Amino acid sequence: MNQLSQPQAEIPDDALLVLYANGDAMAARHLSQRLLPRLLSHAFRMLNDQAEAEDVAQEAMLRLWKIAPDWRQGEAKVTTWLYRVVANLCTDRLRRRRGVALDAIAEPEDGAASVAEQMQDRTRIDALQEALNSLPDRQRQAVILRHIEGLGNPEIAVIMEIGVEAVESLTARGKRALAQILASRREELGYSDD
Amino acid sequence: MTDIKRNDDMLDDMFSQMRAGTDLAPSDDLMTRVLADAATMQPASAPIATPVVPARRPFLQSLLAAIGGWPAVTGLATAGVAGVWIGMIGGETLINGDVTSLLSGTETYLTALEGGIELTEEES
Repeated sequence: MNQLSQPQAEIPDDALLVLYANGDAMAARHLSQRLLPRLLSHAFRMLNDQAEAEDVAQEAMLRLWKIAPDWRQGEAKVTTWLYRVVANLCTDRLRRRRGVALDAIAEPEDGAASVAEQMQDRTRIDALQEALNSLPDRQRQAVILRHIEGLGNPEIAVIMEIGVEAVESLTARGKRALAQILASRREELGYSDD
Repeated sequence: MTDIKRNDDMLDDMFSQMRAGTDLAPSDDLMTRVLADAATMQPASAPIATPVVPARRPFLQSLLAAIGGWPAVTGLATAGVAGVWIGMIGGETLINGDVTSLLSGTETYLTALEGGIELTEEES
C-alpha cells in the first residue's frame, strides 16, 4: 500500500476532505491511510472485538464521506468529529451487548488475539485492556481518550458532549478503578514492590 | 512508597506502553471496503469549462470593424468626394505660391494681383 509522500502528509485533514468533496481521486485513499488505523485502534480498545471494531471504523469513515460536501473548513477538527462518531457507535454496540451472555464477550476472539500480538509487551497491554473492559462505558471511553489517545480534556469534552469537569471526574474515577483492578496482578506483570 | 503511588506509577507505565504500541493496521479487506464506500459517496467533480475561442474574421471584416463599421465608411466616402469636388471647382480661386511669398516683398505682391489691372509708372 502506498504511504503518503511528504507534501501530501502535510495537507491538513480538512483540506483533504475538501479535495475529496471536489472529486479528487486520491484524497480518500490518503485520508483512509491516515485516519483508519487510529479509528480502528480506538474502536478495538473500546469493544475488544476486531470484527466489530472494523465495522465501526468503516461506518465512521462512511459518515465522513457523506458529510464531506458540507464540511466547513476550519470549524472543527476532523479527528475530533470522527472520535465522536466512533464513541457513539461503540456506545450503541456496548448497549446492545448487555443483552448477550457475559461469557460471549469476556474473552477476545481469535482474530482479536492476533491483533493484540501487534502491540508491544503483550502481557501488560492485554492486562490493561482487560481491566479497561471492566470499566463502565463512559469511564473507559474517557480514560482511553485521555491516557491512551493522549487528547486534552477540552477535546474529550467535545467528543463526549459533556463538560470538562465531567471529563476530569470520569478519568479520575476510571484511573482509580483500574489501579484497584491491576494491583493484585503487580507481580504477575513484572512490577516489583520496591 | 505508598501502595497508591506504586499503583499509579504502574498504571502510568502501562498506559505509556499501550500508547507506544503501534495503531492497528487496517486489513486490506477493510481498506478496500472503506475506499469502495468513498468512491460511491464521492460527489461527481464538475466538468472543467473549456474557454470559448472566437472564430477568426476575414481581413476586410476586421478592418471594417476597426474603423467603426459601415457608418464610418460612408463618412470617409463623403469626405473623399467632397475633396475631389473642392479640388475641381475651387482651383482658380486659389492663390498661386505659398503664403510667405505674399509677405516677402512688394514686387511679388503686385505680380500676384490678377484681374487685368495695369500698373504703369508715371513719368514725372
